[in-house]
Amino acid sequence: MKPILGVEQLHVGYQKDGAHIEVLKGVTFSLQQGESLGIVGESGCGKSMTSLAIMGLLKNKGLRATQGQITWEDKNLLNNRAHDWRKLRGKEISMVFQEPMTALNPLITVGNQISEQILAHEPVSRRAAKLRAIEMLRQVGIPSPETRARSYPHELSGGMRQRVMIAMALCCHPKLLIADEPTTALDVTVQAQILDLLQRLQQQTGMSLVLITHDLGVVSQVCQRVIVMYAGRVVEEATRDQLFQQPLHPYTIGLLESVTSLDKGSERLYSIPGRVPTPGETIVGCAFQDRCPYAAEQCRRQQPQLTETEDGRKVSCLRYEDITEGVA
Amino acid sequence: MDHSSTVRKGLAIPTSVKAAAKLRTRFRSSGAATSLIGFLLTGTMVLAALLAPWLTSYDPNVNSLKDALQPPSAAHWFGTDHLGRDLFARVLYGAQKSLFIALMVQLIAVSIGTLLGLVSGYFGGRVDKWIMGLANVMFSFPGILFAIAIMAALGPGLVNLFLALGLVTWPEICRLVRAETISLKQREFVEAGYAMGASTIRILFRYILPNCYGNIVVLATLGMATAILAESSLSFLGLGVQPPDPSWGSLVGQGKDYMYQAPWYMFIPGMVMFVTILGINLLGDTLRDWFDPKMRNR
Repeated sequence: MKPILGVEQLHVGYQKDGAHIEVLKGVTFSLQQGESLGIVGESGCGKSMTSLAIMGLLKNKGLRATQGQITWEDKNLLNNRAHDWRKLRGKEISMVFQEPMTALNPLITVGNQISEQILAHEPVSRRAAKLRAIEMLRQVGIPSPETRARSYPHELSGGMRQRVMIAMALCCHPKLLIADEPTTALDVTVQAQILDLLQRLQQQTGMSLVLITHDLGVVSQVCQRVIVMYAGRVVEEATRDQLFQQPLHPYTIGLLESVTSLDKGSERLYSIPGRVPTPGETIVGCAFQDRCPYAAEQCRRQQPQLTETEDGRKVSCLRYEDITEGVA
Repeated sequence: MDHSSTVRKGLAIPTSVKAAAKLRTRFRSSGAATSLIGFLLTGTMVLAALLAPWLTSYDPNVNSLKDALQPPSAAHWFGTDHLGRDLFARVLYGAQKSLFIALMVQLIAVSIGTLLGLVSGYFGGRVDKWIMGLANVMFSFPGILFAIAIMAALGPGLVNLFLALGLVTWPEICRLVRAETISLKQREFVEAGYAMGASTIRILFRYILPNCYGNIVVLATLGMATAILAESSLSFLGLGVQPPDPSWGSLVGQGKDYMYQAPWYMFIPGMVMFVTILGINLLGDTLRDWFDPKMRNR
């Protein structure tokens, strides 16, 4: 089946003091219609950059895609003009942001924000848009949506605001929803509700979902497939079950080790030693070498490529076979 | 809590006093008092200006030299000026001119300043450099001098007065709006707006501008006060409102010459001006709160 979204060898960077600093160094992945994909990694690994690139929002942050392409329904999005972007955003591809506290316009009632979004994309009457906004609020589980539609964002709780964001993102029935850390700013109890909601809406509408998160728990709950990013590159790609049962890349192994759980007892929490390399730092060889317990001589010389294994997963590590066989 | 209740009993404050105190704090904290005063002062002045023909039977421009420089009395509430004209009538009719001028000047200044500030802050780069360069040039002139130059070139007249003062005042608004725009355009809800497919125009006028309203209103009301004063300076120099028509500025200007014989001549129009400006500023504060939904219904 042909993927709905394809990202190929995407390089993104910015200019600083005359030097070009690369943030994404060749990101490649694809997404099928109706699929849910998780993008996992630490802060600064390029997860959010990837989503901004897909939305065409790089320019606002002073960033630029220098190489590669993003294919959406056979068109390369990087060739889009402002007008094309406007038609795409919110209509075909929508986005939910991390901070529901600040992602809503504080001066417009939530009902109006949603109906304005509908009016911007579809030739419907004001009344129809308003009714649909209320219907959307109902769908995302907001009680008494007729009244709530007249609320200002500051009158709603964080979870409610995130529901409003989701309603706004979905009101024009997009084919792809990008959720950038949608639950990070919320209480744990609310997190689960929001994830359930996202999953339910995805199944109802058949849209594709890209979920960006640093929380592996979130991924295991919602995503069918996962890509793990590190320092601007994809280091591993696998289905959820593959990844959680047998991680291949040492970074993924470390991430899974770092997950805390109640039955682990009272031992010290695990953390991956070292830190993420800063953008612009030149590294010869694998970017993870300094933090990797399996790093060998070859890792300091050669940059590993994303290669496909026999069972159809992808990993970017020179030694993954040794690691899985337990030689190391 | 037992302890606190005994303490309260020990103090034995009568309930009526407590209730009054409660009411007072609520009144104070809600800003209702300021709103009310601002609204009353400004409203009274506007009404007085509009109803001038019904509030006084005197014609503000008819001389009566035998009545010159009379102190306030039952016949002439605010006294008379050096030509025997009724000052109460002149203050009322002057209010029409002064308030209208203040309003128009701010309308012009806010329109120009807001538009240029939005464009400057949003697009940045060369556009920003040019607009801010222009604003800085305007800042470096003493405003009144520039207004005099414009008036001298265009000739005296009400419309020219608006233009001159408006052209002097816009840079302040422009700077404020530019700074606000620069900070607002990096806020997440603006980015979310883009992600939802909003156009640049929509971002500017639906996301950024409404979030500037509060501050613009405050600056504009402050500017009204300045405009009333600036008009008085220009009128004083003979470039503003032309005699014999009264304006507050020209009243104070003329009254100054008779400060020792007839102090009320200068003092009363000055007081009226002061009270009005105070009222407008208080009203400005109220309006700012009103533009912020978080401050509403509090």
